[in-house]
Amino acid sequence: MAALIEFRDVSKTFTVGSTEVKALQSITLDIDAGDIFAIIGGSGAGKSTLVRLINALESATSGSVSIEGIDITRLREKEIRKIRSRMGMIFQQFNLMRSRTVYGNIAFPLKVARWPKDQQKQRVAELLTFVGLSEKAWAYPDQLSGGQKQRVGIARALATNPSILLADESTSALDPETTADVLKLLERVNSELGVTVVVITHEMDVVRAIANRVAVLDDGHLVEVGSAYDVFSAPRADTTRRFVETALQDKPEPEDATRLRATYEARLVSIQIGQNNHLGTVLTDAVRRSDVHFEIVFGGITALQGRSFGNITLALSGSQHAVDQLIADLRARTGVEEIA
Amino acid sequence: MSSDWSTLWPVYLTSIWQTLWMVSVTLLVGGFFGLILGLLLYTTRKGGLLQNGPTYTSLNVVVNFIRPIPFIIFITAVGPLTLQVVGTTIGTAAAIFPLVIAASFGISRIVEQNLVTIDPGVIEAARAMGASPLRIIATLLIPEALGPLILGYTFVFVAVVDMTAVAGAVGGGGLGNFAIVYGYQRFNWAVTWVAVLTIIVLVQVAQFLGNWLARKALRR
Repeated sequence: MAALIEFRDVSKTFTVGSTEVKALQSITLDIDAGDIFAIIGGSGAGKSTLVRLINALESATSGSVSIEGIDITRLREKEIRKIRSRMGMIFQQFNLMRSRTVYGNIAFPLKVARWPKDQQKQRVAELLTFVGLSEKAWAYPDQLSGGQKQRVGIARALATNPSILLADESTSALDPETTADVLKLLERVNSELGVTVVVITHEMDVVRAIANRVAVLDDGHLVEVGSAYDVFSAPRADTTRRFVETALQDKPEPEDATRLRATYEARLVSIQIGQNNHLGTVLTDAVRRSDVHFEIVFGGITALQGRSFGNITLALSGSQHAVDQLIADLRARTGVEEIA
Repeated sequence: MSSDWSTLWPVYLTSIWQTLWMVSVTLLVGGFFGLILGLLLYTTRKGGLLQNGPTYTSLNVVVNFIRPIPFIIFITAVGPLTLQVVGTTIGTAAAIFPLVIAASFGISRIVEQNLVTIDPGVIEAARAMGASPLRIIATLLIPEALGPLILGYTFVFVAVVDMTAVAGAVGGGGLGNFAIVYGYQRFNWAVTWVAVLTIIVLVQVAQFLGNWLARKALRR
């Protein structure tokens, strides 16, 4: 079955003056219906361009972008507008119309789609209830907090019952608490309304909170795609590893390592904790069998999509042979990194 | 003096009427064309909704060509065209024609400048909803920039009052002409000052109204 959104060998080059900027290079990517799909990357990685290819706010230089099997790179402006009205988009800076009330903002896409007045009214009321802003219908955006503005943005994006919601850095301008609220709302959009959500972000925390799949962009290249669990628990690309570390901080930084080495006369190893890899058993067996000791000195275990994972740093002491044996046993079951 | 004013009074009233007439027609007609031109300048520029290099460049050149011409010269220079359109080069109607043209080009820049201040993100949001360029222009650009636009038009009102003072050069009458002919040329300072005071009052009232409307539009 074809994916809901398909990128096939998509490249995008911007010409700025006489220099060419390669924003995206041969991206091939599938986003399935029902996903909360996160696209993560640093600034300038091309993620904003990538998301704008989905609703054709940007056009691909080469390759094809298909929505529900229709190649939108071949459509004319008028047909593209029709496709756009079946997608919603929310933005970092909310992009609400200051001259219109909350009601006016949410009704705008309905007007564009030529809904009858009474149906507009009913739909706006529904949406305001869904995002929890019924009392603010007649407020102007200037009178709202950041979180409230984004909820209006979400209501506006959902107005025409789209099957896809594009979220461009939708929580980057919000404080942590409000971010959590907005992410929860996006999760409800996905689970209650069945909307496929594409989230653009530079924050791995956002990915961890809601995404089931992740794509990692680095300098216009797609460096990794996979389930959120796989990417977090076993990142392959360096870029991915850096992003994962910012979110988890379960491996000692160099300064932590220095401090640990000063405290413990032992070998420091960071071991990956996964689902059911029975590392405790390995450790207890080793302690029983030989004169090896371990101390838990750093790390953290967290859960993602109902599965636990993380990293624990151990200080191992005892005879050289016994410690070597234990490290080998651990290596047989999980990722082990010696902290030199 | 008193006998003077008994004959001057009707001339003074007529002059006020002529100024108001010229200013209103210029603001209405010139305001309309200025808005269209300004919207065209804004939307055809690079990255605009209707991006069109040749259109933008030619409009830009024309606007820059017309705007710096001093109005006293412009009003006479377009004489042949005025004759074609209005049928005469003398009188209030003949003054209104060049006023409208000059105002249109002046207003187009003011409109363009105010539209530039609109957050491009809001326009992008409307595009993402599937709104057509025409809908965005009519239902987003103008409402979003309404407050500054009203202030811009108020500014233009004052500039147009200034321009109408020159209308006397083609027999257009008005307060400026009144001040020159009955005041300056007859060494009657009182007449000049009355004319000046009237213009000040006119401008004050317009500015007050403009500020009030803009405040309403901006809800501040």
